Amino acid sequence: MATAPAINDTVAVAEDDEFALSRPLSVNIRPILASVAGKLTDDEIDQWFVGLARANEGRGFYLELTAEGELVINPMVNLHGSIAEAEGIGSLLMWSREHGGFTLSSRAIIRLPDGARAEPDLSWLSPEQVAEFGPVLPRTVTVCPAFVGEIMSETDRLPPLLRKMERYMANGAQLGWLIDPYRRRVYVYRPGVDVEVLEDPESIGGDPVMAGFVFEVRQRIFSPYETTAG
Amino acid sequence: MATAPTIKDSVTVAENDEFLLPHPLSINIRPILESVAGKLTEEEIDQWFVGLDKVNEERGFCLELTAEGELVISPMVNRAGLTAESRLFGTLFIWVESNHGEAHGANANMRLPDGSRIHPDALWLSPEQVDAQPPIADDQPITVCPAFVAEIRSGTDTLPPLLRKMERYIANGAQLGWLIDPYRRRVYVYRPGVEVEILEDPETVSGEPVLPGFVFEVRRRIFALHDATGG
Repeated sequence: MATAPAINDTVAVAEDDEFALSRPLSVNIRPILASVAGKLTDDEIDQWFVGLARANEGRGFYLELTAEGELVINPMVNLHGSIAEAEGIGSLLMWSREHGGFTLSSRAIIRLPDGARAEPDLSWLSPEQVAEFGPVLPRTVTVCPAFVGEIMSETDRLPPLLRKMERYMANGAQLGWLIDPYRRRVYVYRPGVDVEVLEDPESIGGDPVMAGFVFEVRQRIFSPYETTAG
Repeated sequence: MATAPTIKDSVTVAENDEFLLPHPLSINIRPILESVAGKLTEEEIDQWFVGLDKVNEERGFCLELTAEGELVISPMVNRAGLTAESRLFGTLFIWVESNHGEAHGANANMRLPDGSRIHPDALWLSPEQVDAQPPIADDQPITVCPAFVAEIRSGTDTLPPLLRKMERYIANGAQLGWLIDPYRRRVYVYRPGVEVEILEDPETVSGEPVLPGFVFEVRRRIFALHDATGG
């Protein structure tokens, strides 16, 4: 009944199954979270993210979790994004060395009070927040840094980032910056007031949360995008 | 120090953050699986996949778990793919009607002996397997590796993961496996203990000896779909 078919010798298996994610992708993992409720501690769930980062190293993405149980698979930043992040963290660090608190790296997995696990590009714990930890700095803690900043990358879309910033504020951040190098904009978030949108600002100020901190966003972030991106 | 910046009134938020995955994406979730070892039963982990399908419905992807702990996020198949799936399942179903065993389509949840949770495009349980399985409830997966499994390559699939998947079916105890590639007009036939057989543009493919008398007209039923749709 079946016709006699031609038979090929070998299967050529090309390992070409890698591809670069062009946008963040979100998978709702609430069923997994619900199943471990009461069985795993917050610290154990934090360890997922440490382990996931390790187990998925080199795959070109990093993972975050929202309070709604969305596991967000984010593409890694490119060279522009990396320069922008380093400029931001560097300036923040220089300021915080003088004024106190801790500047965190963008690899820090932060457990927010609403249960989200986020990796903000820029974040700073105020001296008051650090004081609350007591004499010994804990390895993990539930906290929203007093200052949080995100730098939009070319794979990001604006709406999820705006929601993310709102979440930081709802979780207790005192100041939030969303820096969009493509539109040369900075969205400034403060508790209890509407978001302020700065069009191509030369610099942005951290007052009063980070007294005297001025970040020269045009020179440090917007300009490099011009010279490297074209 | 800071210059006085211009202030804009409002932020316009477009809800356009949907995006179609171009290819399957794999996340290693072994750290999650290890954290629940001894705390959750296999049945509770099965329920993850029932729940995940539900809460991620309409997002255009489906989820599977490999034995290595890779959570594979695959784009949904397109219309040609859905038609191909239903033609294969339909033909298998008709064969079962006048023979024996049980046929299932791509909606069936399955947990293989190696711990993977997958949805083959079509599968057949032998009468012995049907007898050995408890009656399959809505939310319960099939927990034996079916005697026959088939996968149809979709436009977003790359070949290597599918070949590995087929090998896994055989390693888990399948007696016959077909991987149908409409793009190269090929069928890869897997049987235990022998090399994979590659049929180039076959007119039909035979289920012998696992499915005696079952002949699937793959050229007419599946390959031709792609001619017609330009795929």
